[in-house]
Amino acid sequence: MLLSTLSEMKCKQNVLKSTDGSVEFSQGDTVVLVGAYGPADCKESKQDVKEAIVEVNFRPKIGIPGIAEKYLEQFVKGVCESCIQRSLHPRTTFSIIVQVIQDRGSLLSCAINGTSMALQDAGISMKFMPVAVTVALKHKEEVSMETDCGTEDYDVIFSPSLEEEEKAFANLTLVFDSVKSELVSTYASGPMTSFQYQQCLMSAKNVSKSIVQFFRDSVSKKLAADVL
Amino acid sequence: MRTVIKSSTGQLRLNDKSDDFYKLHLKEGIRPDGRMLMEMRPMVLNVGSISTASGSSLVKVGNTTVVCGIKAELTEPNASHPGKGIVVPNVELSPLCSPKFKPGPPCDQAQVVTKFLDNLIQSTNLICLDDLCVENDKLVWILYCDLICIDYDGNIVDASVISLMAALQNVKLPEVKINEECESVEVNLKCTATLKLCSCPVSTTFRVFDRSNIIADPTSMEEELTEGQLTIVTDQQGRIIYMERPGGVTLQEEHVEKCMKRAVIRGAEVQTLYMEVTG
Amino acid sequence: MATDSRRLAVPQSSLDPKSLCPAKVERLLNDEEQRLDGRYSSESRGIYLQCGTVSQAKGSCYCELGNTKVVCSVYGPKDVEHYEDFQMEGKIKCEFKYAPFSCSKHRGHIPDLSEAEISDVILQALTASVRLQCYPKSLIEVFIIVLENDGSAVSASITAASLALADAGIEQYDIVTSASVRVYGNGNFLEDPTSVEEYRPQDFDSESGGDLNHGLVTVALLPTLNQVCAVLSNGHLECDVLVETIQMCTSLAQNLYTAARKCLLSSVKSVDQNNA
Repeated sequence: MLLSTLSEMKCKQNVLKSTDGSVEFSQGDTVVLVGAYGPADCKESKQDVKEAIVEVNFRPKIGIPGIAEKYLEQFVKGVCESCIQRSLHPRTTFSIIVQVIQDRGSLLSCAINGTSMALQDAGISMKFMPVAVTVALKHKEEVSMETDCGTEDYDVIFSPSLEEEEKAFANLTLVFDSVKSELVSTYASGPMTSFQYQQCLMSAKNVSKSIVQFFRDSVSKKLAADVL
Repeated sequence: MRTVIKSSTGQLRLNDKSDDFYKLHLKEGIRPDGRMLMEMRPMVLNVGSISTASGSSLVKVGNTTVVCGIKAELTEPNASHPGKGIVVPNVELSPLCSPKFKPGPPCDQAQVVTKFLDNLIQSTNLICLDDLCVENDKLVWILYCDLICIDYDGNIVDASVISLMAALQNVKLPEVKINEECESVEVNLKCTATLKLCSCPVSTTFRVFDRSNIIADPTSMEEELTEGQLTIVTDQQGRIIYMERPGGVTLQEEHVEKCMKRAVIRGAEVQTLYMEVTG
Repeated sequence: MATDSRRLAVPQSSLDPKSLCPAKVERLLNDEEQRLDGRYSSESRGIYLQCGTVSQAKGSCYCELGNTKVVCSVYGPKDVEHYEDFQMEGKIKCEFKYAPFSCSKHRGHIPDLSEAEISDVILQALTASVRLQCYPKSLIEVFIIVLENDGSAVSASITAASLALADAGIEQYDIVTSASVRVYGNGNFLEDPTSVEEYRPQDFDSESGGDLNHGLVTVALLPTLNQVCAVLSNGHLECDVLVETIQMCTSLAQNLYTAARKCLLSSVKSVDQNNA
């Protein structure tokens, strides 16, 4: 079983001037631009007395956002709701806008990692930084598709490209927290056994630590530039 | 502390976020409707009651009632997939089923459940789309799968998956041929064939209360009190074919494992129900 | 059909396979004076009514008239929108919808003009019976969905809506019952038509050669008061034929009263038993 390495990540912070925090995040060839606003004023009808509300807008590269974008929004929203310290800012709203610039696979994890950096760039108080990893399970080339996938004849690919995602028999996006590496959010599709799921979980957890290190390095570079 | 707030439907309700009422029940390991934490509501399934639809089903999971009607029509295929049929699911959460929903275009929840069903159909290769092709690049079957919720008492996802599956198993497609000489389409209504389904998924939904209590098959009231949803879809072989947890709270791995085991058991129960009903 | 960004994309048009091999209905009545489903021309289908089917609604009713299946739910009285002026009388809003799979051709999700017209007719029928002066500044919402349309969907909907209002405890002068009759040719009436027997403008010249009277009449009635509250007539009907048809519908709707009353009594009894 082959474990591939994570594709190269790049991050440009504070790219937009009018947002509270913004980031251009790329994972391999997939690029997203994330803008974060908050805490901002909110209409009385939407306000929550005890905590802030989170709104997410997912915009595709071309066209009007449809239900596919609505579906991805609920993931980003759920992750933000658990990581932002909402009870510190009651009666306000946090808005996150994710604009897809290029989609070459692993879009959800790229968006969540970008959101994480954008929230940090905006200085929004968080309980942890969410770290997302996309894993694809692909049968090895020599093995046919009908083989029972309980055997070890498959590769574990991190941050798969579009072609790898299509050829894989299972795709998972796992979101961990940066502090305790607990699982925050999951998206898994494709037939897999419980054992394979556990295996992906373990390997993704290890990989998430390198992503956290990347976040740390990006932030320290930005702060060092400011200081100088 | 309880406060009275005016909800968006204009009805007054107690602010249940204080949730002492629910906590008292959970301390005894039971829920307000008398169920254990991992117990599902009783289910009723009925197929083939709507004669105008090619296939139909009615599912009641507790009080939640979903009617699925499938209309099979003929159309030109998509340019990108000339040899494949089209399956279009759509979930209607209208104001008829609950005061939570407003009239107008589909709400967020309806859109998400529709996309979930669409993802499920595509990722699990539920229906072999090549079978739905009549003539490559000219004529294919399109299945409009409309799921109408008549009564919303939580857990629309599970009810939708079950009713969609039962309705698909009930679909009868007439034989269609293209007459080459006069370029017309000939339909033989008397000769019908059922759809070949490659898998039979069953979904189980759980919600998390107070970060540590996991309840299965939430009612509408429980959905408002809890955060974080976990949906696990299993197939007839007990494998996990789809899992989504849109976030909300962090969950320990052992909790997720417990949910997966429960989902597999539930999957087996519902498969026997499918067998009984569709024969 | 315009692309709806809140639903999955669908192709512009699709063909119903049944329309490609239409079973031409030559005659509505065979030699023994029997209709296609075996009934006589003055025979109605059996009706099944049940209240309290939607647990989340204030009041609801399920109606089956032969194969036609209708669900109605009622919410209210509730506050009107804050931008509306103060009104001494309550308001009823009615929304009628055919399910996409209820008719022979797949229907779109966005309500079209025929559904809007039927909503208006049902609203008219219900407004006559509901005591709106008891509900100032309030809104009563009625939602109807037709799960299967095998004729007389409008009359089934009106009856179901009125029973749902009664189930919700909304005060009415009387329950509204409704019935339909199809006319084809002079002196030929079909009570409670099925969808095949219902009037369509294209059938105009086919039957009873040359006779001008073709149409479908639906009447909503307040049975104990014996007052007609709504009439919907489609097609070409001479005045005296129309009057005769309305009288026929009225007596049919009158007969429905016992079934409606029984339904309400049994729903109250079952609530009593549940509480006991």
